[in-house]
Amino acid sequence: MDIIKKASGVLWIILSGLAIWFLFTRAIHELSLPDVKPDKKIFWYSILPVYVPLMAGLALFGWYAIKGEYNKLAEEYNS
Amino acid sequence: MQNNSTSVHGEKKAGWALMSVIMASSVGTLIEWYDFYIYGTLAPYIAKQFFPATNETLSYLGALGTFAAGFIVRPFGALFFGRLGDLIGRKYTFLVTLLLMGLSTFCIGLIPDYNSIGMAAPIIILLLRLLQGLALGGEYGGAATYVAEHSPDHRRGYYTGYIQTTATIGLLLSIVVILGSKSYFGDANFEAYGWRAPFIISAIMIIISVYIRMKMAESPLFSKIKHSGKLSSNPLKESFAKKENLKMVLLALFGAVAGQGVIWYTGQFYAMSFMDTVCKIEFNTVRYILAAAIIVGTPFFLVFGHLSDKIGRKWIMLAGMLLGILTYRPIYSKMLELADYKKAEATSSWELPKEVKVDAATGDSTIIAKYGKVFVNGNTYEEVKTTKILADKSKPAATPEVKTKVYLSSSNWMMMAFLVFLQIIYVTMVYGPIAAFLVELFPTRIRYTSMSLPYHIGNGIFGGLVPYIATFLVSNSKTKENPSGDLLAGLFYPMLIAGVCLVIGALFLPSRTDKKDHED
Repeated sequence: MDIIKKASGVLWIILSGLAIWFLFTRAIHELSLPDVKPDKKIFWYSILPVYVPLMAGLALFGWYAIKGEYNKLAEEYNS
Repeated sequence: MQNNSTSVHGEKKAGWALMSVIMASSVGTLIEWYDFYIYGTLAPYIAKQFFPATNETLSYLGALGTFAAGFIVRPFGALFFGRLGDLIGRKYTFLVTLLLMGLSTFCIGLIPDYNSIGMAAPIIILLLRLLQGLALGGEYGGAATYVAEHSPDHRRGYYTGYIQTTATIGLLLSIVVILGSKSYFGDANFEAYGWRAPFIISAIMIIISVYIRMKMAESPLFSKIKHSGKLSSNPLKESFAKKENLKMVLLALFGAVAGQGVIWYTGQFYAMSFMDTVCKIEFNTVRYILAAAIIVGTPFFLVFGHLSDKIGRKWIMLAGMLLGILTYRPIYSKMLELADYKKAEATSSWELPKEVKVDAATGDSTIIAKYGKVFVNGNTYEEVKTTKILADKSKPAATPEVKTKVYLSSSNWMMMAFLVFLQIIYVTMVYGPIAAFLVELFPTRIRYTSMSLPYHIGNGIFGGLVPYIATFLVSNSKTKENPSGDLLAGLFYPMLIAGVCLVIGALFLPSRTDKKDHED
C-alpha cells in the first residue's frame, strides 16, 4: 500500500500540471475572442488566481506522498 | 439503587445540556446560511435594481458580487476568524460572525436602488455581500468545533450531524420565506420592493440567535488549554507553515472536502438550476420539489453522522462520492426526460388572444402572446412571448423575449422529487460525518483555523463553482450539428473532482471512530 501511495504522488503532480496548463490555454483562448462579455472576463480573472495555487497545493500533496509523509498516518492518527 | 438513579439523572441532565449547546449553535449557523442563500436566490431581482445590464461597469460589479463572495472571500473569512477563534475563543468569535452576517443582510434590504443614489448603491451592495462571505467563512468552523468539543468521543459524528443539517435547512428556510413573500406581495410588487422582505426579516432571527449565543459558555476544551497556557500564539503559522499540519490540511482538502463540496452543490444548487434553466420547470414548482426532497432527506444527516460513530467516517463519505459519480448521468438524463417539452407528443394546445399595451409617454407598444400545450405524459407547457415595438423606427428593433414554463403532472412531480431526494441522500452521506472527521484531524489549539480553510476552499471554490463551470462546459459542447450542446456535459466537473477525491481518500484517509479528542 505504501508503494501505491508513493507512486500515486507522481500522478497528482502530473494532474496538477495538466490542470494549470488547461486553465491558462482556455483562458487565453476565451479572452482573445472578439466581444468578450464582462461575466466571462470576471470568470477567468477569478478562476486563474484561485485555481492555480490550489493546483500547486495538489502538486505539494503529491510531493508529500512521494516522500512517504502519509505512510504512517493511520498510526499517528490513532495514537 | 439510589446511586443508579442519581447516575441516570446525571446522564439525562448532561444530555439536555449538550442538546441545548447544539441547538444554540445550530440556530445561529442556520440563520447565517439562510442569509447567504437569499442573496443568491434573489440575485436576479437585486441585479435589476442595482446592476442594470445597460451599464458595463455595473455588470462587472454584479458578476463580481456573485463570484467574489461565493468563493474568494469565504476562505479569507475562514483564515481571519479561524485565527481569532484559536486565539480568543470559539464563543466570542462566532458571535461576531453572526452579528456581521446579520447586519450585512439587514442593510442589503434597506439600501436604496441605483436610480435613487446612483453608483453608491451597487458599491454598497457589493461591500455588504463581501462581508456576508467573510462572516460565513468564519461561522461554520466555529460552530462545528464548538459542538464537537462538547460532544463525547463516541457520539461526535451524531452530535455534529445537527450542525451539518443547518446548511440544508437554511436553504429550505430561504425557499419558504421567498415563496411566502412572493405570494404575499404578488409577482409585480415582489419584483419592485417585496424582495427586500426576506433580508429585513433576517434581523428578527439574528436578534434571537445572538441572545441565545450570548448565554452560552466557552468550549470546555478551549477553556482547558487556555488555563493551562497551551494556546497557540500564531495559529496561522502553526497550521500552514508546519509540515505536520500542512500535510493534514492538504489531505483534508483533496481527500475529502473537495469531493464533498461538489456533491453538496450538485445535489442541491445544480439540481435547482438544472430544473430552472434546462428543464424550464415553473419557478414555484422547482422550489416545492427541492423543499420536499430536503424535508425528507434532512434526517439522514443524523443517520449518517450516527453511523460514522459506529463504522467510521471515511467509507460513508467515499460511498456518497462513488454513488454520485455512478448515477449523476442517469439521474439527470431521467430529469430531462420527465420535463421534456420538445419531443413529447401533445394531446391538445391553446392560444390566448394577443394583449397589446401602449406606453402613452413614449408611444412604444408591447405585444404579449401566450400559448400552451398539454402532453401525453400529463405535463403542461406554457410560452409567453413579449415583443416590444418602438415608436421611433430609427432605433433597432428589440429581440422578442420568450419565457417558457413547464408544469409537471403529479406522477412526474413525484418522480422528479424522488430523483432530487436521491441526490440529497448523497449529500447527507458526504456531509453528515465531515464535521467530526475534520475536527478529529487537527489538535484543539489550531483546530478552528486548520479545519475552516479546507472546508471553505472545498465548499466555496470546488463546490461553489459547480454551476458556473457546468454552464461553461455545456456551452462549450455546442456545435453546428448540435446547437443546444450536451445538456449533461456540466456533470463532468463534479464527477471528475469527486473521482480524484475518491481515489485520494481511499488511498490516504485514516479511518477510525471515537477518536479521543486531544488537547494539544
